Amino acid sequence: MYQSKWRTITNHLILIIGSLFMILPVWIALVSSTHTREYLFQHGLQFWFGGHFIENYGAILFDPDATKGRVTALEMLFNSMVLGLGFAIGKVIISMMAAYAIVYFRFRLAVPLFWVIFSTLLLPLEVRIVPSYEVVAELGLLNTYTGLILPLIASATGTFFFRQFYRSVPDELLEAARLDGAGPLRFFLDILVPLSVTMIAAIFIIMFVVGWNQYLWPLLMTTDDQLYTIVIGIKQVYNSLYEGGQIPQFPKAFALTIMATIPPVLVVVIFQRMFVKGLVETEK
Amino acid sequence: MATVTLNRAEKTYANGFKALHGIDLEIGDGEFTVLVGPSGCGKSTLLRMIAGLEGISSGEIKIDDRVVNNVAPADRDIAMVFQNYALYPHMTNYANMAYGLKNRGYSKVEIDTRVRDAAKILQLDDYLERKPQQLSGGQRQRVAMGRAIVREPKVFLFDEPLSNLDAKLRVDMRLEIKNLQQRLGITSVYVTHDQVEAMTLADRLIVMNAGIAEQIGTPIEIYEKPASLFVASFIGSPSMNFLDGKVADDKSHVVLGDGSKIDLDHVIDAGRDLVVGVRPEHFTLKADGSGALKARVRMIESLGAETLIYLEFGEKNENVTLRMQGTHQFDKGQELSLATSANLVHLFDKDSGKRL
Amino acid sequence: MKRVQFGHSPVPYFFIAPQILIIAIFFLWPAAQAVYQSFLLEDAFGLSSQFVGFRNFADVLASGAWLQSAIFTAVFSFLVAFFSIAISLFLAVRADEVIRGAKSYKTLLMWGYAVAPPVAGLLGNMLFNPLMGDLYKLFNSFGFEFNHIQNAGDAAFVVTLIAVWKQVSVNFIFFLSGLQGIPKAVTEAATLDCKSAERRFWTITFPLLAPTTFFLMVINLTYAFFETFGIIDVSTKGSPGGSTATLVYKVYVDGFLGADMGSSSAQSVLLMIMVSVLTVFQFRFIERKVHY
Repeated sequence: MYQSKWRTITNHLILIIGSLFMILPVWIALVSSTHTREYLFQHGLQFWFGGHFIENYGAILFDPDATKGRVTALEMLFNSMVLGLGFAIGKVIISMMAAYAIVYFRFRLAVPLFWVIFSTLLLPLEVRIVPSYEVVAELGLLNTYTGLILPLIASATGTFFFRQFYRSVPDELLEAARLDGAGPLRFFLDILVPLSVTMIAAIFIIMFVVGWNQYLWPLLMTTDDQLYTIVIGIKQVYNSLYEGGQIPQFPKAFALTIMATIPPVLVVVIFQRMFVKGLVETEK
Repeated sequence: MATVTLNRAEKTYANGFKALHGIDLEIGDGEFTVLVGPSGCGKSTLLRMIAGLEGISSGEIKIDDRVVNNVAPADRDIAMVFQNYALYPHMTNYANMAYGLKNRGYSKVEIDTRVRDAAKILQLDDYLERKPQQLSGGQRQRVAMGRAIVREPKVFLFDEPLSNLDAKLRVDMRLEIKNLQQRLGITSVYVTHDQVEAMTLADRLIVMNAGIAEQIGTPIEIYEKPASLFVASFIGSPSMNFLDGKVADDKSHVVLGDGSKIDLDHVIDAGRDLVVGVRPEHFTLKADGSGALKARVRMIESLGAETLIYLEFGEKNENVTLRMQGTHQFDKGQELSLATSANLVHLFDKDSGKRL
Repeated sequence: MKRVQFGHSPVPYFFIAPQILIIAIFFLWPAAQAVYQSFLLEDAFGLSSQFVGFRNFADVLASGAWLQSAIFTAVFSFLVAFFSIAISLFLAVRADEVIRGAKSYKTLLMWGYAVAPPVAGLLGNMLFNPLMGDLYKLFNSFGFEFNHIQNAGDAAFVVTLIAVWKQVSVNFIFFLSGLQGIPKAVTEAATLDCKSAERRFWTITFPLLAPTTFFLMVINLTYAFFETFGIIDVSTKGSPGGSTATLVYKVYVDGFLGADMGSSSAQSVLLMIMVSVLTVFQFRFIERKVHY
């Protein structure tokens, strides 16, 4: 399509400014994390790398003292990975199954159960944190991966996504499978699950990022440092920034921030096409 | 080898809509039966009831001598070809054909023999390891047929299998299906809304309308003696001409709206109102003006081998279509004189639409 | 609704059971408990409680702090939704037009989706740090006397800016895919009919994007309500004086840090009602024909 030269130039200019707006804060954090705290204190935030990359990141990753707790960033990364993967896997499996029941079966409790599932969309975890905490405590699940992951899975966003997708699968496929002698379980495993592969991948990526980035729930749930995720670690470092009258540990806080950010960002960028497809189609 | 029998088969949906009003039908062994009718006439419902994909509300369906009303689709020993093929997109064509056999516990060797035999018949040998998306529409259609063939079922069911193909391919596949069915000799039921498909494929044709089988017979029977106005208008293209008329006092002819007369060859009560049907190809042009009907040319379509002439007739400008072999030229508004013979005229009761 | 389904059997119960079980334990039970507790008043030590009817609600609604928080939440949500939608729409339109580097721009503008809210909060906090924050220095060098530690308006500005920054990428993804969904023939027809690019945008493109925009409005409001918790907790912590605490943040502060269960539960219930209305509204709009 025809476009004036002027329009092309402004387009690029605007997009470059937009990209800088997005990137600069993270860039500053990245390069500032490679300086010493004294240097930052004297010279302010930096725009280019310093020479303390290995020193700062090494300390954060392997030395519990650097994160002001009893866990290293490495352990926190592991916990985040467990949360991200557990959340994504659990959510995908459970919602695929529930959506299958809703879309492909006629059964007595279908309507009431559908509404039960629907009601979870109305009330995100954030509005019921206090009682949720009490329930998990009563069940003795505080400071466990189970207690961390299961309550997050209770919302039905994934179920609605798969419901939408199943409804777009042609009816004839089920009919053909029935003529081919496939029962409900076989149709699910042989036909529906393989058909959903790209959808599963897309929702898995989104859920991994959502799980990784969880903040409020892990914050309440995990009183034991051993279960801290890296996102919670940020808060810990932040809280102790100004303790003890020392020069604040800005470089290490930045290093932790960068490490919390890199995994989900990589996932999103690498699987960009799948991720965008999943996101745009889920929300519809 | 099997027969299919329907006794007063009815279908009423949960919302009270009655899709089929008691269908009686007997399909002989090895017969190719075509269900034809406009959309919503119940032809697909009927086919799906034979398949077991829709339940039957009352009456019974028998395959051979077994009542299958409550038999699961997979156990009826039938195979079906769907309109959109319904191939499993994630499986290779081989796996698509093998899936039904695998579920029935056939041995690997047996499955392989059957799939390869079917592939040979359908010329799919080179495509077995590909997936359906990598094939053209016609090839996908063949895979869908292959999936039906490998099962060696008692009955083949076809649900508008050619409607997703382009015109040329449709003609090719039509011949192929006919050929195949004759070769395998398997009882087949075929649903279509395309009357050319219906006429060419059927051993026996069932014209359906609003949940009722209007007429059952060979294609030629139905063309020559349509049982009702509906059948007469549905079969044949362009459609039959219908003209309102009244039987004259001496019962020898019908008087049309403008007073022109059409001879009768059988006796009907004098003064009775009826509808006279004449197919476009059954008019002849009388150059000397001796024809019974005088009509004015409205439009002409030249198709090369034949010419369709659209005319207006009488005070009320009733439309009449004339079909002539070869090419012809007329002026717009020119008056033509048309004749027909009594044995080519169809008479229908004006109220019931039934053939007289 | 499928035309074809499997008939009655126990199989669907097996498939739906895990989801229902988790919802029952971790959703229905706590939600019911929140409602129940909102009618109770605990003594100072949490040892006994008594039924007090709607008193907690009355207290909450009457308290200036809650009202202040509600007003802040409303204004904050509106500003976040408005600015993040406006900025991302502007960027998406340009990104849809460029040919060279289109892919790179897309990546550069969408990766922010993966940034956790508290990470955004911390980055913002650093940039506005009085000791060395570049933005803090920048603003003050223009003589703004910018001080978000003490000035409520400045603090609200900081939180809003961070929240907008975090949300631009999501909106950008939706707008770009919305723009790419507009048939090329339509845009081409529009260039023949209308010379001004700006006019074309407002008369053709924007109306065609209306469903996306409306949908994003709802998404952004929900985001501002709930997901900004992490941003606030790591940037202003609701200070100064609770002026930047959203309703969700206040539930957390009162219930967890203040241990005032009755009040916190009453606030939760009020929030539930507000969100339910918002979601039902959204669902109505998006899926007008709910078959169940």
